[in-house]
Amino acid sequence: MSGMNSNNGYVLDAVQVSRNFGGLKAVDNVDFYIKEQEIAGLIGPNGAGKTTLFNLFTGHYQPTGGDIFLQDEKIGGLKPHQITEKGIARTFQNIRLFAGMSVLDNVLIGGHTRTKTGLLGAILQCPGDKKEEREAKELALSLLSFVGLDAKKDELSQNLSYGEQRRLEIARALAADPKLLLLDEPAAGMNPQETMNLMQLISRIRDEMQKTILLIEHDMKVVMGISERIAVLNYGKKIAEGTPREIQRDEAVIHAYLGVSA
Amino acid sequence: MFLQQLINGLVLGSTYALIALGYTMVYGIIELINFAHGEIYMFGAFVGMYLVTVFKVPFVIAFLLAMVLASLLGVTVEFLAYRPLRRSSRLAALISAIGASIFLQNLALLVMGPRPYTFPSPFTPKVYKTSLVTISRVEIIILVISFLLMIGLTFLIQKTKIGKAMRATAQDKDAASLMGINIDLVITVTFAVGSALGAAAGVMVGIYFRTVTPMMGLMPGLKGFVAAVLGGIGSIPGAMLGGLLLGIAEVMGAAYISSQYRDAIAFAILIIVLLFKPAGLIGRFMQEKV
Amino acid sequence: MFSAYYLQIIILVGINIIMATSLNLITGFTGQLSIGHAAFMSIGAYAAALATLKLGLPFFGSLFFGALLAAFFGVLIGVPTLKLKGDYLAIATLGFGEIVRIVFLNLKITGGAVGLRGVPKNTTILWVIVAAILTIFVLNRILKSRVGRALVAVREDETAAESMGINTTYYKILAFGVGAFFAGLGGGLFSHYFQYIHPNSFGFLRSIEHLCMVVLGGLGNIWGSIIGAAALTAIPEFLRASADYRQLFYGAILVLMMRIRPEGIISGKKSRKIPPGKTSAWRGKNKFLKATR
Repeated sequence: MSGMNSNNGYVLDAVQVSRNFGGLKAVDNVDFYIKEQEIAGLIGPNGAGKTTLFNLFTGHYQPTGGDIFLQDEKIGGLKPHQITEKGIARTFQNIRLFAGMSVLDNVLIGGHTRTKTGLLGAILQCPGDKKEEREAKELALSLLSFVGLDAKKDELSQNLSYGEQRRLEIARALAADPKLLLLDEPAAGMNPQETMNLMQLISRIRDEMQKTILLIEHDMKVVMGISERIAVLNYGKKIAEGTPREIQRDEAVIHAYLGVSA
Repeated sequence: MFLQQLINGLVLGSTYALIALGYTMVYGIIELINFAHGEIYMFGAFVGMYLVTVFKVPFVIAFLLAMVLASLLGVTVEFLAYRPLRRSSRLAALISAIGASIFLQNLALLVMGPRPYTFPSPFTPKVYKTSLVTISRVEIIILVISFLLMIGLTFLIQKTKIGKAMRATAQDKDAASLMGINIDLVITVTFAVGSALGAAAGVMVGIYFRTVTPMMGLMPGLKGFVAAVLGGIGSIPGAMLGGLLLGIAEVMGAAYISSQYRDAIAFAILIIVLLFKPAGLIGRFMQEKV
Repeated sequence: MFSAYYLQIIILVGINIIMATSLNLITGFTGQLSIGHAAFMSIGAYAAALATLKLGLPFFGSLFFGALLAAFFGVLIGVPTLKLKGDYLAIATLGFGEIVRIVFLNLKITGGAVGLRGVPKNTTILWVIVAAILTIFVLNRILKSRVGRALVAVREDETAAESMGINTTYYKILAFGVGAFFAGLGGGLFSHYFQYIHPNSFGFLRSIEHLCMVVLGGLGNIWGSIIGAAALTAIPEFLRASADYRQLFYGAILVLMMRIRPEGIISGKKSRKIPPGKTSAWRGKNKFLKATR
């Protein structure tokens, strides 16, 4: 079955995915793929179905039609924690850090799927468990320094500034060592300086860590500036797909955004 | 036999329904399980009993006064134990509610002592017999009053201005507030009405079993909540249906399965409902938005 | 005798420390309000007593058996958390507690409403101290590990935890299992000290007592639970308060603590820095814990 649809080294391949809420077609027969080490963008007016599509990829919603593949594996219908384990990690539009935990612990939780100490290991603390914990901490610290938060590792995550919280969320997602990183409006609420830093960070994640990235973003400067390929949703349908340059000139996209009927 | 049990179940169930209404109304508005509701019910029964036995007040007036005073107590509990926590977490409010319940229960125990008080029936006992069923005058009165109260409540919720405000608040507190609805007032009225219904149930159970005790609120309080969950918490018709069904299930279970496990039946129903239909029989289930 | 009286208080303090810290794992750290903790205690108390009386197990074996059976039921009641959140779960634990009590009231083997008599007095102060230290040690190790982080993540934000690959259902059940295990241990110690147990010793109000200890010491604070358990066990004894006043006091504590110091009595400093493994409840995005209204 899966062999038919999955091929050609796509990290993510969504085939005619749909999601209905009652009578509303939030996502309507969308085909979408992301290539290895690509930075892809997903845009569209408010209510176009971007976040719903995201939530379909991460398992927060189950598709009502179509299939989703991560590399060769079908992931549509799996639970969010299973999908994370398979290799998709995400950030949230409205930052969802573990507010009452330290910055370091937040990143350590990100590494949950890449570690395996269980109840007995936790209690007995065998050499293997200690080693794993040590390595997880080292990795977490290196990720924190990657996003520039190593000095704040012992702070409560809720005490970080807004921009810092966004970066911490990215570090937490990276700790899951994902094949695909999903960023849900990472620049929302950032000032121009923070936005600049974020764009550099996203490029570095791809270039230095060889990650594949998909982002939803309203800030056109960000999405046009760093995406190599952009898909546009409107009313749940994909209305355009192409390079930033192509998208900027696309009639349907301009109509969707300016509200001029075609 | 079966028909007889059905009637017994309906009588018991109508009191559960009245208690359940208080839970469901409060939950619908502020998403809090008002644990102290069982104690309001107990308080209502005590007030009714005192007025009738000590002050020789006519039953109808005692009944109404019990409802009024219980309303005041309900509003006071809300004011002291819940209102200060409106901006804190739901867990905090729930713990506070449990605390209020324990506090009132033991206050009653200290003031009234642990022994049961007799609540003499205000009506000359009379039993109506047919070939199939026997029904007492008190049972008929309980059914009729419960029915009238439920009709009255439905009218209040559906046809009056405050009822409309309550429904709006239950839908969306912020939007209701923006539309100029006084949320504090709505919450106060909700507690007052719910408490009055609970007290009515307390007085009726008092004359039905002819006893009142400080601990009498615990079990019916819990079962009233179970009834609310069974019907679908937040739903007024759900609470009525849930109460009646729970009463019937309990009486039938005691009659045909085991009377020793009578009290366990309600909780078993609760866990089954929560597992298989957490929204209840008539309820909505909402998914958290990501 | 004078010293025997103090000895009993110390033993009760020890058992209650076990009860409060294990409840804190479920409610304070994992964020799942349980108001049926006494039910697990009663399962441990009866199972351990019967293991000694009917199976002739040695004391240690009986304690372990009781704890294990309690853990089994902890997992069993944990399964409903698959679907239940917040206050629904609280009510389910309450219902479970009542069912357990009613079952014990009616079973023949447990002595029914008469209670179970003649349990040998095996619990010594040494056993209690060792058990309490063991409980604290194990809970601390769990909390400082990957498992503990996952539990706290469930409390803080279930959706985000799920997104980080945490099987939230599994960890909730695990919290109930471990919490119930130690509650069962506490129950076994209880029955082998008082030699007589009755289902009503483990009712709703006992669960509330445990919750009070946790709330007083601070949800999500193990050392707080120890202090809470010691204070609420010893102070009423020394004041010679009657049971009625004690319960009144518990009720007032719950209301007042939530109003004045929901974080507990001992988490005094508002430090910005917290060491890894330590957490602070009441601040997460968990819908149930978060300020929503």
